[in-house]
Amino acid sequence: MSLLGYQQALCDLIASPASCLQLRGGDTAVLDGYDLDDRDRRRLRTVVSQRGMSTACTLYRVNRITPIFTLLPLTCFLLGDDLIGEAEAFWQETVATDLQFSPEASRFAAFVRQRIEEGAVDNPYVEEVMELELALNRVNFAGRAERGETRVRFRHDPEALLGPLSRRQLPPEPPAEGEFWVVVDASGPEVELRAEGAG
Amino acid sequence: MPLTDTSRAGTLRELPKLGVGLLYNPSLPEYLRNHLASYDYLSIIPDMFWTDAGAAASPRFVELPSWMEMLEWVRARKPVIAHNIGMSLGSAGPFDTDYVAHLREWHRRYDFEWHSDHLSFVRVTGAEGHDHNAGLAVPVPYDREVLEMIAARIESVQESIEAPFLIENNVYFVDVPDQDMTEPQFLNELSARTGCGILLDLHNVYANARNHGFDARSFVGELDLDRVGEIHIAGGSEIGDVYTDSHAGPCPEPVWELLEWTVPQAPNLAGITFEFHDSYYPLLKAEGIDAEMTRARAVWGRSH
Repeated sequence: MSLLGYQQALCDLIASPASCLQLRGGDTAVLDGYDLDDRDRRRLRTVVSQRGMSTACTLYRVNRITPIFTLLPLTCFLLGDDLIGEAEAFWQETVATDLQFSPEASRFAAFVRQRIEEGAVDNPYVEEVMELELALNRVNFAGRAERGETRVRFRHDPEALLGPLSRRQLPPEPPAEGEFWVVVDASGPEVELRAEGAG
Repeated sequence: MPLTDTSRAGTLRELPKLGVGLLYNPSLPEYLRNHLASYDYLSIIPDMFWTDAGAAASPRFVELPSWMEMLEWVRARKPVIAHNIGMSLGSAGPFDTDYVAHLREWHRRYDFEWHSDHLSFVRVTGAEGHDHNAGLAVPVPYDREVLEMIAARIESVQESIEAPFLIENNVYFVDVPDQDMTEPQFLNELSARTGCGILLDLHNVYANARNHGFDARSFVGELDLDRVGEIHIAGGSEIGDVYTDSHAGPCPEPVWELLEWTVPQAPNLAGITFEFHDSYYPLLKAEGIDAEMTRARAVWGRSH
């Protein structure tokens, strides 16, 4: 048995429900390219046909989306129906050596920034809201001595935008555009947000 | 290698009998500050207190200040134990000795009473040579060659870190055919070979028994229970028709019954740890955690 080959194939199957279905349907080409012996192949063909494999595939996706959804909840809300597609593209592109919340959320944010630059993200509020959530995360992970004020630039009126978003709603009218700032003030015992400026 | 490691035979007997504890999660700071009497110790996942920038980075492990402040606060008041998730003892690729060295440094700082990790792997070396995260803890096949590999790694951990080491039984969703051993046989032999203890997660046993149709007591009865140093209890939930170890709120009744049955048979048991996911704090609330701890303490008290 090649334990490494078995583990590589099993993990790739867990990450790909489509590959599981392919193997379940008898297409063993899915296992080409792995160093496997007969027992490994028999094991993998057996496990993909068990109901628990679907659970493993689901948990994989849950565990990968959880750090992103926990630390960037409004970004996820704004991505809406595009979230899963963007997340899957991110998972395809990014090799994660760990699933620690803060680094995984930062990696996803870098991916979304790139997608915004490419014009692939339609929602006009994603970038500024995501930067605000990243700033809040930095404050929350910082020690008391390191906490102070951070300013995040907005291109839309933050009060008109963040109020509805806190209720997981989009603004009823497009917020005014201009140059605005949201100050993340962590100098006191509680983190406070306040809007500054108007374009 | 000797069949039984007698050099660590007394280690489990010497574990401090801590009582009942909680596994730390980010919903707990206020509870921990206001309910000091409800828990005897805190179990922490060290990996949650730092970010790991990767093997090539320097510094590799960057601590999260707000989490460290909480750890320092608790450590000044209660014993702390470490429940690791990053050793990836079952990975076929290279063993991460830098991670173990970092844990050793943490043991020096926080004097953990014992520490543990899982009988599974979370990292896999890809075909291109880079490590990937598996996305979940994947059980190893209970084969002889895997036992040899993990035993050698546990020996290495025990040589590096003085505190007793426990290995946790798995939750698994698929049955791997043609394994050389059952999970109890594998755990018993691993423990006998290396002298490590067993962290018996009764909720994992319950989930496996429910999903795979076996008797949970029979499984526990096959284990060498004098090797058990810690027990985990937790709640779960269903995904489709499969029961998962989601740590969803209170501990179900069958797990309490299993705990009642197991504790009197585990003479070296040093702690019962309740685990819940922070997203279930609104369901449990402080009163719910108190109730779980009180009930666990009653079970503990009948045997200690």
